[in-house]
Amino acid sequence: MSLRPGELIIGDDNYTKFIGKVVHDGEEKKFGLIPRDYTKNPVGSYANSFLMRDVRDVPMVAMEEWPERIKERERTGSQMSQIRLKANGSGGPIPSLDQDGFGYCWAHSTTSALIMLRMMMGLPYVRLSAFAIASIIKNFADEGGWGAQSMDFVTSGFTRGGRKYLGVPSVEYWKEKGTDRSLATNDDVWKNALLHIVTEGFIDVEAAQYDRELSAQQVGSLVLQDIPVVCDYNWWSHSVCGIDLVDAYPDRSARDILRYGLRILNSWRDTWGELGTGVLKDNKAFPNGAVAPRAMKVSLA
Amino acid sequence: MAKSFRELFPGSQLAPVAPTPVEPTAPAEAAIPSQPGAAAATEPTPEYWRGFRAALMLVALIFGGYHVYTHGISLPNIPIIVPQSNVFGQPGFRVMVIYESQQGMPRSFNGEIRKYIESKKRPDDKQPAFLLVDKDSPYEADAEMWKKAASRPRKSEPWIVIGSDANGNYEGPLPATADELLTLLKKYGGA
Repeated sequence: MSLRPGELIIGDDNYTKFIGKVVHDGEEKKFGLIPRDYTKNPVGSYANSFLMRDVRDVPMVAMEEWPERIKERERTGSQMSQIRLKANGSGGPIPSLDQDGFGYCWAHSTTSALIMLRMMMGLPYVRLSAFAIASIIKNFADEGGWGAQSMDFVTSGFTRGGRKYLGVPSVEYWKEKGTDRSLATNDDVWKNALLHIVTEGFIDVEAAQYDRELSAQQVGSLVLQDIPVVCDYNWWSHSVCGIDLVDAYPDRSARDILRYGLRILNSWRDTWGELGTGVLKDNKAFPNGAVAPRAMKVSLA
Repeated sequence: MAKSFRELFPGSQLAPVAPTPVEPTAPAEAAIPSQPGAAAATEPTPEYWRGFRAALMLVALIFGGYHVYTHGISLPNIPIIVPQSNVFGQPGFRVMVIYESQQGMPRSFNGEIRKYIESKKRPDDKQPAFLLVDKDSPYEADAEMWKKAASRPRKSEPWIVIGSDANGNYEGPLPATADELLTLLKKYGGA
C-alpha cells in the first residue's frame, strides 16, 4: 500500500467531514469551485460542445502497469510529493499555497500545478501569485470559478479594460491576499507574469471551461508521467492540484479504477494534511473537471 | 775437452765480449703483506671506470646510430588530448534533456537521477543542475545558456546534452532506462 503512515485520506466513508463548513487551524476554510448553472448554460449551449469528449493526445499508461509504476516511483523517490520535499532551492520543501479566506481555489490549483511543473522541469522555485489571476478575472471580487478558467489565463490570456493579461507573476510582484487595484495596471507586474506562461497543455479547448474534463485513466496516466493535473471536484466544491497516483487498495485488480487514489496538493497551507497534501480515494479520487499543463516558458526567475 | 769459441777463433770480432761488470742493483723491496679488510691491490681505479664508461657510451652510440640508420625512428603511440570546452559554455557538471512533452516526461529521468545530478552541483553555481525542456519551449533571456544548448543539432527526442569540465561532453539519445542513464552520467560526472 503506497499510502503513508498518518496521511490524511478522504474517501467515501469520511468525505462529509470535508465539505460544507470546514474549520482547520482555527479558521474556516474556503473553497471556490462553482457548479455549472444548467439554466444559464444548458447542455449543448457551448459552440462545438458534445456529450463525449476525448482529449486524444494524452499519452496513456495501461492500467495493468499502474501498480508497478507506482512502486517504482516510490522506490526511486520519483513521486512529485517526494521531489517536492527538497526542491525549494535551500534543500527544504516547496511550501503549499494559501488561499484563505478567499474563494480562489480555482486559481490556486492552476498556480500549484505551474509550481510543480517548473519543479519537474528543473527550474528554480518561484512562489507564484494565484491572487493575481483571480483578482483580474473576477475584478477583485471574491468569487468562485473553475480550474480551466485560470489555466486559460496563463495559456492564452485574458482581456479586461482593453488590456491583455497573460501568465502569473510571483508573490514578489503581487502579494498573496493582495487587493491593491493599482497592480492591475502595473507594467512591472505583468512583465514578470510573462516569465511564467504555459505553452502547451492537455486541455479540451473545444469544451466550455466548466466542462473541460480528463478521464480517470488520463489523469492517472498523466501524474504517472510527471504531469500535474488541475482537478475540480463537484462533491467538494473545490479545485486542487493532483500530483501522485497512489495504490490505495493493492488487493484489487489493476484494472479496477477504485483501486487507486490521487494524492493532491491543496491550498490550505502546510498545516493541512501532510505538508499541504492529502489522498482522495474511492469515488472521491478522480476529478469531475480537469486540465493539465505540460510545457512552460524556460525562465530561471 | 771441447774448445771455447775464443780458443778456436782467437782475435775474432764475433768472439763474445767479455761481459762488462754490472753494478749490483738495490735489492727489490719486499711486498707489503696485505692487511685484513684492505682493498686488493688489483681493484680498478677511478680512472679505469671513467674509461670504461666512455667506452661503453661509445659502443652504445655506435650501435644506436646504426640501428636508427637501418630501422628509422618510431615513436610510441601517445594520444594527443586537446581539452574540450564545456558544451554549456560555463564550468560545472550540467545536464539538459530536450523532449516532446506530448509524450510525458521521460521515465528514465527519475528521482535517483535527479538526486545524482543535484549532488554534483557546486554550491556557488547559480544555474540549475539540469533542465528538462519541451523541444518547442521559448526561452527567457536569463536562460540563454540553455537555449544555445537546445539549439545544437540533434537527431531525435528525447535527447540528452551533458557538459563537464574534466571529462568532456556528451550529446545523444536519452537512454531508455534509469540504470543506463546513471551509468552514462557517471562517466562524465564521476562516481
